Amino acid sequence: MTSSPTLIAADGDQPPRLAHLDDYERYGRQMIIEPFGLQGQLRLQNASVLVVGAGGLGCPALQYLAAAGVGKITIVDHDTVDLSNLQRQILHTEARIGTNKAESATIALRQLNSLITVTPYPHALTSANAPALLAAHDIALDCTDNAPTRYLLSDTAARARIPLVSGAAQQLAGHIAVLALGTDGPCYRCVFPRPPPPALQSSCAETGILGAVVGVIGALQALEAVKILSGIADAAEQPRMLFYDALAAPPFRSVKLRPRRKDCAACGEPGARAMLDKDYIRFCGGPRPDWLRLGMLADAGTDRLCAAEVRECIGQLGACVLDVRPRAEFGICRLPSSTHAPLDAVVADPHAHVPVGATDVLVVCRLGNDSQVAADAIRAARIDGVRVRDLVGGLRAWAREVDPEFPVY
Amino acid sequence: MTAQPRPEITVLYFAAASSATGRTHECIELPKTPFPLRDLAGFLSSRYPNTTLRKVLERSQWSVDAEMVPEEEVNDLTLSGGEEIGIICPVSGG
Repeated sequence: MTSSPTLIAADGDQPPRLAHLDDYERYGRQMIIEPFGLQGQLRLQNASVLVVGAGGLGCPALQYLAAAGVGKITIVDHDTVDLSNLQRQILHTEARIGTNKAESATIALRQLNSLITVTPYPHALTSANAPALLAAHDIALDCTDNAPTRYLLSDTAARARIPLVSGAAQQLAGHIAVLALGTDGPCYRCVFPRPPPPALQSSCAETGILGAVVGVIGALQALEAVKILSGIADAAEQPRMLFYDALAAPPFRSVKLRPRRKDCAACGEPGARAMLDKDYIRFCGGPRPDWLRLGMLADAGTDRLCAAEVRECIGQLGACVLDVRPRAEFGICRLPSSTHAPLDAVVADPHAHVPVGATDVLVVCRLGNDSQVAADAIRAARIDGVRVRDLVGGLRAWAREVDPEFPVY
Repeated sequence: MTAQPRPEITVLYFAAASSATGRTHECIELPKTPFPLRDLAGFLSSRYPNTTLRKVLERSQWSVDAEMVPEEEVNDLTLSGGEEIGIICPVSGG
């Protein structure tokens, strides 16, 4: 049998095919990059990624993973979409407020790419479900918003040696690192053996976050996952943690990490591995305080006033309203004739913030917690003829009980 | 004859450390050399009284010249000036 030189090469010489003909057009822009190529796309198509958290970090990360054609994506989140999320959690919509975030993100990703498999897991990550969830995926992304889940996720990934792309951000800064990579990559516990104290484990809701900052970190997480899954990452590279600060110059800095610690309780040598405390919340110093509830606590006979009582006092002779919120928050909205006196300044020098002639000091803040601290500090200064009281539930209660037009943020 | 300038280090404040100090970096004269790294937390905290910096430093890691320093090596390290010190504190938000 003779063959013509004009015929196409036999099947054995043909490169493997992507799953759909359209995939060549869809992914062409990344496949023509030299180290990526068809091979990179095929690997993505066969890869599975677990994304824990479909919030500020998870949304941009998921968007790029799905767009790039990662074959199987599982989204873990037990929380529901809230209006205050939409400023940064870019997969969710006004119409899906109240929907579970894993479900909402799944809807968005299916609209973006119908040829990949996206599975929502609308539950919290726990010690019980984490091992099986991780074992079913090639790589995991830590897009969570709290320290206990970060340690749980890292401990589980480190023991199973499943690479974990860890991202975190708040206010104007964030960091990202690939953990538990290969045989010697460090885990989160190797880098941060002790969790931050609960008072410093603030969430984005409490301390704020600029949307594009989580966007930067989330996009970098997707990029690191794509690099590893497609095989273009340099495996010999020493692990690093990359830090981003939107206002610093330069905004990016990276720090080399040491290899896995031999004495790490999660991923150290077998003898060093401790039975990890399954109660990650306790390990991280207890539950995150419920500031909304704590600000509403008022025992009978204490010097706390409800919003209606504060309204009666305002404008009376000798009354003085001290607002102890940070400057930016005082700039958003405030009670008429209130004076700004930030908490730290009041605690450091109470006398300086009580005007001469004031007999009735009314302290207010956002939720009614800082106002108690400030009121206690002023009382402790024992200023003659001055009565100090504070607003139960803060300005949030004022808006609810006295002035429905008062802005709530 | 002019006095020798005191040796300086550059301190990078990240995340909570930046919030506490209100700056992202600064150059600081070392009070003496060699200066033990383990004394740096106390020295920096004293420059920012009435801030959360002391608390932040209790749970932070150090980097020296862009390399993380494991906790067990902190006691052995001294600074002689010219180093770039990072305060690496975990961020939990996301």
